[in-house]
Amino acid sequence: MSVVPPDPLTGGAAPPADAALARGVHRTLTGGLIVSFALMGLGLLGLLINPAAAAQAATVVPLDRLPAALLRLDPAALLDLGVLALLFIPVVHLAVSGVVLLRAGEYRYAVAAGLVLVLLALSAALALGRG
Amino acid sequence: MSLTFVLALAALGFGAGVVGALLGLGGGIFLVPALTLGLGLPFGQAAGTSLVGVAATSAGGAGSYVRAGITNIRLAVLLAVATVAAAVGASYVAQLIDVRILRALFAALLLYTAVSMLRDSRPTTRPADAGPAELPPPPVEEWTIPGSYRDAKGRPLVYRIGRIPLGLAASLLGGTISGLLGVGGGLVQVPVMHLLMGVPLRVATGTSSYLIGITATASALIYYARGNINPLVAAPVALAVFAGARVGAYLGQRLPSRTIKRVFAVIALFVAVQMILQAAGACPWCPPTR
Repeated sequence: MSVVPPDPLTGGAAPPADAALARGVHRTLTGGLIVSFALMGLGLLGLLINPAAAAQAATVVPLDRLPAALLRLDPAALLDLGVLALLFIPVVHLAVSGVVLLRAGEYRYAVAAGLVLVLLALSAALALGRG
Repeated sequence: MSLTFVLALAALGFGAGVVGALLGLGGGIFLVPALTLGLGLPFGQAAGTSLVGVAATSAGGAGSYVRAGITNIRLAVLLAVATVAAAVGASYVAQLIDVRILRALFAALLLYTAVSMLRDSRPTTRPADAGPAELPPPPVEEWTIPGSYRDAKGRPLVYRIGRIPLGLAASLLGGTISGLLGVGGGLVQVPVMHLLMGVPLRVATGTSSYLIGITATASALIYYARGNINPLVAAPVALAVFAGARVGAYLGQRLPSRTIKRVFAVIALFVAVQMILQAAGACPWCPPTR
């Protein structure tokens, strides 16, 4: 490896996919954080207003009961969803990266992104199987 | 769970975020012992909570690096295959093995961190944009990853990454540590990229910031399913660690980094000893071991 100034003829121009990759990943990271933190913030605010809900918030809301709990604006459900949204961010930006790399013809890296998504799905499947 | 406890969680999370950012580490290395030794949380829950904190700081930190064009996303995606695979397996195993072994392993990681910080605190004139000084250039390889970025002065630089199979193999260790101990794995990933694969240090740091979020997520899902992520604990910690990391990054540009590293190396040594004593059941001043 050597770190050198770029070729004056090309100006060290980055591959075309780089700008789209950076843009897509950055937007996903930023948007995901905003959604996740907003949900967590609302959940914590709900607990400040209703401290009695704290006992329920100490355990994970079962996934099948999560939609109904969210409709009730249950603080525990909001916290849960906020944490899950945070953990879901890498899934989204990996999918975005995979699509951009695939369109750019960089199949090796697109396959790698797909493989990581499969591994994350495996992790989720193991989690759901045990949870 | 009282408001006081939640505020204590937030304070610890904020502190871990500040310290982590000051030292160029994720918050997990300080958050796990803070939660176990300070608040008496079970090790599994501390590790699970730490992984959520890592995910939060990764998403925040990586966003800045990606926007600046420093993160090598191709490299991160490749290495993630190894780190995620190892993290999934290791986090599953972590739920099954004796917690005293996990505490002892964490203490070993803290000792390694302390030594690294002491070594990094020695004066150096090498800029963060330089490649590793000790290794010869990699042999001509078929598979290399090109990259380019702008240094601190805005000058465009190009580099080429090699030894990819070796980097993938070494990244298995980073994923294993993440899954077992609830840290991001950046302690392993940055040296792997910089010293083994020839990535400029600034790029290695930015790429690791992105990569550890992916790795932490893989582990966190297992911890979540095992009930080792309490949302009421994880949420304030995640928010506080993120805020602390922002403050730490701001302070890090204004405080002498060598002094900070020496101070925290000593603290890390002290905490490592505490964790070893706790693992051995010889720490009467520690919260009850769970």
